[in-house]
Amino acid sequence: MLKKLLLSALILGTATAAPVTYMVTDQTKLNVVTAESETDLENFTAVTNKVSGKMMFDADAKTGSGEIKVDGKSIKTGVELRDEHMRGKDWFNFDKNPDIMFKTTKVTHKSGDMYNVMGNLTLNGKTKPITAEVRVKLTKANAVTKQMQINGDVLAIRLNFEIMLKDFGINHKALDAGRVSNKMPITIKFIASNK
Amino acid sequence: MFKPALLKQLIIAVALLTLLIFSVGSWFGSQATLVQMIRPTSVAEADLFGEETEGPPGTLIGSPKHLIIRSEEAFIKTAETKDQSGQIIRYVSEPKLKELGEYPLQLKTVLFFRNIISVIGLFMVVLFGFLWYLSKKRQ
Repeated sequence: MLKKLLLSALILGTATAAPVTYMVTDQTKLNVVTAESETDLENFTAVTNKVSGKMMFDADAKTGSGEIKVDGKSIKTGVELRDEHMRGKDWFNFDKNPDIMFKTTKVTHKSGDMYNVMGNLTLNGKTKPITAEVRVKLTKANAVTKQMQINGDVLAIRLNFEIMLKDFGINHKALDAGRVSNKMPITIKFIASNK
Repeated sequence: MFKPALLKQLIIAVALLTLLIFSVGSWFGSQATLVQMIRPTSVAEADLFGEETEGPPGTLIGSPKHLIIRSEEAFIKTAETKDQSGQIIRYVSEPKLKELGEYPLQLKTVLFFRNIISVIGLFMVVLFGFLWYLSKKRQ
């Protein structure tokens, strides 16, 4: 009897510790990607809410993995002509390579909801390793999440990282002249759910 | 080649114009406010991310910038915070600003053009001054 109980507890323990799959929801209000660019004329923030992807998260082991995709073509800066330039081959070439992909390679828990995530970022057809500071917050399904029309448990994720544009094959002369900063801080926030 | 009297008038005109542009640019720049753009959400929605922010609930769009915003209704009332140097940051609703069709001018842009035009103006004053000196010497 005791053996059976122990076995059941072990099975149950393993079951609860198993990673859960979460899909990025279409919460366009809450899913936001921002990238800040500093130029000598003005600093602007490029924004989109077109994020998709799949996450595996083990809340007990405090680890996980995932892959997210951002639609580069949907990014807006507030100026139509600048958006056009950004999509062109002199800059990010979203007309040819519209997808910005991030795939995790290593997840390390720091403290609380904070994690260090290493992964490969693909932008402009080039893939480079990056490290992101990530906040992951799991909220069990409740009346409030239901009211927000999110089914199942909610995984709210925010990634912060910086990229160097030249690392991704962006070699516009404005970068060499120092008129546009090579460094670009990026934030990706989104809501994923397990149902 | 140039008459000294004409050059003198040109110097005065360019100097006055430069001074005017510099003054207008400086006045325009003084209208800028340190602003944090935000995409407002409900408290419950912001709680999902568990972020501790001093400002109103929502997603921050970029970092604080000095902007010239004319639509007062885009500011989120009573929502203010301070940056590391103690400067007050006001929160502005990004969707509201879009709805109002305002693309805010940055202090950086105003100062960039003010400084460029002032430098060109000063250069022209020096150039015309030199030409005036030469033409005066020839007489």
